[in-house]
Amino acid sequence: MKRLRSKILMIAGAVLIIVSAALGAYNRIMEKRGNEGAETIRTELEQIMEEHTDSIKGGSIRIGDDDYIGILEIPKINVKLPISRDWSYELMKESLCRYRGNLESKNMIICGHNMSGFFGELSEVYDGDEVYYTDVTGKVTRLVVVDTEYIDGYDVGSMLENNHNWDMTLFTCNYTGKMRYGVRCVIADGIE
Amino acid sequence: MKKLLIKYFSILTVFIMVLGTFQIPVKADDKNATIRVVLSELKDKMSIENREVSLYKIASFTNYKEREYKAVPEFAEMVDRLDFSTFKKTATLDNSNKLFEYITKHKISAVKTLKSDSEGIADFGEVDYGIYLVVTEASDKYTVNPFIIEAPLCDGVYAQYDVIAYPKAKASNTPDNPPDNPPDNPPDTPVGPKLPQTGVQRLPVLILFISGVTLLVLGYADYRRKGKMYEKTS
Repeated sequence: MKRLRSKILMIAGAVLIIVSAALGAYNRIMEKRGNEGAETIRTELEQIMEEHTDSIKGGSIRIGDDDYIGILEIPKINVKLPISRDWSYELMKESLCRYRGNLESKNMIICGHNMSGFFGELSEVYDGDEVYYTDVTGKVTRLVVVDTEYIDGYDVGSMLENNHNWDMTLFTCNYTGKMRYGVRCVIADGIE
Repeated sequence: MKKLLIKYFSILTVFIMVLGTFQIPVKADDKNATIRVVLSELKDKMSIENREVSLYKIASFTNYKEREYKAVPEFAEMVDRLDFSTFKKTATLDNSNKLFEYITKHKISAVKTLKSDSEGIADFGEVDYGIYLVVTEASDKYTVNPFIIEAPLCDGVYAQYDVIAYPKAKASNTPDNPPDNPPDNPPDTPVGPKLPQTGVQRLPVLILFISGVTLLVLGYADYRRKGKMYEKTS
């Protein structure tokens, strides 16, 4: 009876370890599914872009119920993912999402999950690194990273603020989820 | 005594850490929804002040998570003809234009009209849960297309109660689709006061694991200590 407290503590500890293992496994499964889903969408996008079929309407291509505006490639971290036209938590599971703006107006913001295969290694992208954006017409725009910064999750204003010093921003959560790591890029034409 | 205090403090810390990893669901009806519109010029990001912004209530949410809504009587006839099944299908330019035409034709009054302040902000404050159309007064300089907004903005999982819209204000003489810019620029999804949560749940895994190991070690130490005490007394 006197050892009841010890047993309760050990059982509680074991339960927490099991829960953490289950949550870790769930994260892994979601990452795997996300990467597989993104790969399927990207392949289909590339095929439609190559064939120039009627699926290309305006600036996007419809796959299933969702519209995609292009593909983003960051060679340094081996990322090549489709970008959906709108953002929602559901869409973010299998693609990057256009948060706001567009490249023509030089105010495009793209967000992505920090899971591996997505923007998990975005914090390793620094000034001078290259980013390639391919729109649905197949036009490839080369961008160069000019700035990186951490922005508070509630500081929407700082994320959107653009005094003509960036053309595209990529962002994802940091490890705790409280901050966003933002990568500011400019179109490479005219830089070199 | 000191050891006992350390032990209880450790247990308390572990439980606080564990509790901190769980998100406590907020009872929806306890939260008020607000709408704020921020007007700025598309290219130069200049705030557009002193512009009339009107809010029209189209429908009330009876259960926003399940997208159950009831049209406001004035709009009932029109809402039946529109697809409001998802936010994406609701907030289209086509739906917004149809509703705007309907308002003009039937001379329906706005539930609230405000003028944007020096920072281009029209803050409607607390609003009933529902689907709204925002109409901005046109001028010879700038045009803002009418747009649909929802409060709260919910994707079925997460809800944003403080909804902030940043509509695009174009120079009035700019055609919608300039010929030298073939890909049309899609409308932006309204943003809330928080940037999207783009992180997978990694931190809770670590916290739960550390907490679990701590409890296990404490429990084992306690078990051993009591075992020794029992041996001494016998």
